[in-house]
Amino acid sequence: MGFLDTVKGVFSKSSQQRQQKTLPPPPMGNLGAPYSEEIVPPPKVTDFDEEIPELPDLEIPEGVEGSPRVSVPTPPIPRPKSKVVPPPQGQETLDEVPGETEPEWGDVNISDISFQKIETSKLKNPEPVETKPHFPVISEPVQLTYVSSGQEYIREFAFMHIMKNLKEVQTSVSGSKHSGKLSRLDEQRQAAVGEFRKELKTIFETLEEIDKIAFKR
Amino acid sequence: MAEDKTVFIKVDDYEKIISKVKTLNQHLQKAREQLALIKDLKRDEDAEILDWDKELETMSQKVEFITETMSKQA
Repeated sequence: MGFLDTVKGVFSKSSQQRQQKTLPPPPMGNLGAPYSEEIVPPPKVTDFDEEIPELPDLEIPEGVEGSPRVSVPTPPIPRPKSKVVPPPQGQETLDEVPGETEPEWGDVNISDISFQKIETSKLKNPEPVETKPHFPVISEPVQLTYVSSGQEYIREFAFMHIMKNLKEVQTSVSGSKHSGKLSRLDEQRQAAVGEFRKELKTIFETLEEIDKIAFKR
Repeated sequence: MAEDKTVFIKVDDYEKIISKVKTLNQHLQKAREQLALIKDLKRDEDAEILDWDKELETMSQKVEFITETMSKQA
């Protein structure tokens, strides 16, 4: 055994003896009498071969016979020191937030720790964030240019419609089937009229010939 | 009376005149056919002109639309 093991053994033995001295077994007898709230349940005894330490001399209050009350000092419960920070003006402290409770420092298991979402007044009523436009501030002449460019777009859109309609009109006038058909009909009519005039001329000439033959002029 | 006078025509001239009258009838028939063709062509032209009228009406509406659009944008 080294020096450290010797020191550990001494410390463990002294701590066991201290615990047994400070936590005596509960008093026997008069079970009907109420226990004091300050009594801590006795520790489990596992080593029966070990000698039971002597009970300390306790004061028995007057009027109680056979059921002595034992007041055992409870070990001090470690509590975290809370820092009280004065809140800024217009803001609530965490103590004023509903549902906020101080943590209990009993048998705390790490796995039992849960985080509670605390909604502060700032989160409930978020302040509006000022957003600045990404484009530079437009002065009046530039704004007029922007508006006129919008009108230019509208005019361009209307101009596209106008050109489309004008193109349709131009197509109807120059290259449509109506124009070609009418021209063809006109040519045919001109030819028919020419043939008709020829026939009339021939008829007139024939009548003249008949007249010449008949009357020998 | 002149009507009672008898007119004498040579047989050759008579035949020429009969031939000329036949030719005259043929040309009259051709002229009649040409006139029917002209009537048909005129009917087609009338229909075509009616189509032109409708086309011009459509053009007028489009030009009116253009004018209205331009006046609105002005």
